[in-house]
Amino acid sequence: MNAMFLLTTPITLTDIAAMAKAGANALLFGCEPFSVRCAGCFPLSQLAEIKKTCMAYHVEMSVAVNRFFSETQLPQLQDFLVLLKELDVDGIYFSDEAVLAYGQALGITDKLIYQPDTLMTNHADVNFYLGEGIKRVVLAREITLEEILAIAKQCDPTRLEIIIHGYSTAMYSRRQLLSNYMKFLGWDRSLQKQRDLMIEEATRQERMPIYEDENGTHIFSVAVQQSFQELECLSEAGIHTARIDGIFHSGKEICKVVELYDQLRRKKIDAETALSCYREYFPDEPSDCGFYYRPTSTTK
Amino acid sequence: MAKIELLAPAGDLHRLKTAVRYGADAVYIGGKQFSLRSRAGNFSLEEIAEGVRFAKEYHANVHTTVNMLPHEEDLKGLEDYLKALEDIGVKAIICASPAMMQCAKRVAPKLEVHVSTQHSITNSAAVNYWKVHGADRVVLARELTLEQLAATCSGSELPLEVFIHGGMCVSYSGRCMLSNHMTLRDANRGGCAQSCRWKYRLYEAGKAIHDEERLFSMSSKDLIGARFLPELIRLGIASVKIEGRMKSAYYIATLVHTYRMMIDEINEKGTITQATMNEYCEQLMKAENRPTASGFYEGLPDESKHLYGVNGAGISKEYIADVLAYDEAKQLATLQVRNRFEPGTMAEVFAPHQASQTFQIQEIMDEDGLRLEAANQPMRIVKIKTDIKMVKYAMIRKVIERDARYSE
Repeated sequence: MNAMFLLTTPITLTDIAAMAKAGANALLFGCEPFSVRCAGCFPLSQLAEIKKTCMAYHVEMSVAVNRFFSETQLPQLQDFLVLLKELDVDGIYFSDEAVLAYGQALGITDKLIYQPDTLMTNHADVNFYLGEGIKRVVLAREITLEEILAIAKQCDPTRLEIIIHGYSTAMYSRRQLLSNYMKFLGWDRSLQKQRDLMIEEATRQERMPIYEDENGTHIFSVAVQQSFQELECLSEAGIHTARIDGIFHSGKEICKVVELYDQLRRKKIDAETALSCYREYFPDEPSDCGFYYRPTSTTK
Repeated sequence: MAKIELLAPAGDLHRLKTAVRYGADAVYIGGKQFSLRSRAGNFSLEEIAEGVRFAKEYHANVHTTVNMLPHEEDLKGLEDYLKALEDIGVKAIICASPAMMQCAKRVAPKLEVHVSTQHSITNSAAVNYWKVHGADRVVLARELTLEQLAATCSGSELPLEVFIHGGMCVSYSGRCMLSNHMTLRDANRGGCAQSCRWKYRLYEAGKAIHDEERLFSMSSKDLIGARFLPELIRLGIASVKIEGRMKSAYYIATLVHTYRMMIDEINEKGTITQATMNEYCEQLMKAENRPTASGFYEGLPDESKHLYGVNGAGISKEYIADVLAYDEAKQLATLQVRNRFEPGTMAEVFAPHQASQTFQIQEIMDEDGLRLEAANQPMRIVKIKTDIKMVKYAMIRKVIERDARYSE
């Protein structure tokens, strides 16, 4: 099980050392204005320093270039990809096929990691993108464990990534839905970039995190998905990378979670212990197994 | 420059025929397999074949949505299905899954492949990426402003399709899993529960910050892009698409009728005057049962383009009858009642490729010539006296002063 890479999401530069020490093998950094829904967004000017620090701690450095680009932003995107090539980052996450097209032209296809969130739901589509020569594909979170394992059997699992822990993105709108609601109410206040906002459907009692920035509005799952019981079979299926996403957590909290998965993959603790430690650390946090055992319906 | 295509939705054969009769250049439909909008009825292969035959009589085409994002179990039978669509004479498939696109190119090469808006394509580099992979058209994301759209057009090497009218996903298409999370109904496999149109309370650090009387909602007003049509034609957009495979025949007829006349007028005269545009927009509003706005065409939508505190699912009662026949000698129209009307009702008749005409309903009779106080039974056959020459398949609606809240 040692082969499974643990990737996580630092918020500050000091998280790099702490997360590496906790057992992370790779870190994913946001960089404005190229990234969306990142735990930590860093200025372009810090990327070289980040790369150096990552190398010093023997962790891979990946960058999220996962927004959709308008035509006028394409030159900026191209320049950014050139910079990432020069920095020799280990991975570039993308959602817009423009990144793939430019990456291919720049000869950095093997650094590209496709993460369209919802779209990767079967082996044939995964193989299409892997066939482009990219490094990895991140599977959708809305498929079952059985489906994940079936995909792993029919693809090169060493080029698959799954998100094993954290809140799942449930919706991404380009609209500034919170700002518009405040304006509709006639209230003069901004809720942008606040990470303490939740919505609750009028007839229910479960709250979902909601976050708005200049790129739009993002809504997340009610519960944190955890995969302590599933890590072993995912690892046995040969899946290369397991991500722990920490958009609504502190660096310290994420380190705790990474430590648990690290110990679990090294068989220092069993799944039950890992889960009970997690619940002890986060007693008030709602958690579940995501869609591992909940197939979705195709009818209304 | 190729003439812009007017692409209309159809949830069943009746609506397909209505769209074609009223002037759609192409109709998009869903098959029983591999398609979203599971409540839109969706067509069997036999029905698709009949639809294609009918459309061809009018020199129109049929596009079929093969736009689900398949899970492992959904991939079975795809090759046979695509071959069948090709044999039937379907012009194009609208696809989100690249594996399905590649499969179509391999086993049914006569089918055009149109990349679905679920790919959220917002620039020419992404458009041209799909050209390399054999796509024939790209349906752009709805999140583009007119300016961004013009810039994208200038660098794109594939024909482009854009949405001109209808309901809008509030999210980037295909990137919304609210329905999956809240109801286990898969939004990308036809089960969307439209959770975005529900009402929500909003909390900040655990404390309520919503107005209990005016809850948070993500529901968007429907798109009306008519005012941008002259510019879309000038830009060389290949196709303008009306959304709504679940909408009624009346809705489709009203929109297709009006957009057909607009496109023909722009093609003929090169432009449309402001006054004429206003008239066309008024016609379009007669189809609507939800408030409308300009979507992203004029920029990032503000609060005026959202639905707050308005029930978005109201039912329009404007549509009152279908014309079944007209006896010119007796000046007698035979109608099938759709919604209640009485003698004295101000009405408007519209027919494929004909401008609408307003008239007042006088006497209403049943099939035996007995006078009726009102036509109040849906689907009943009635007759009315009128000197307006009506044609079969024309539709009649009430003339209603609309509430100003139903438009921006």
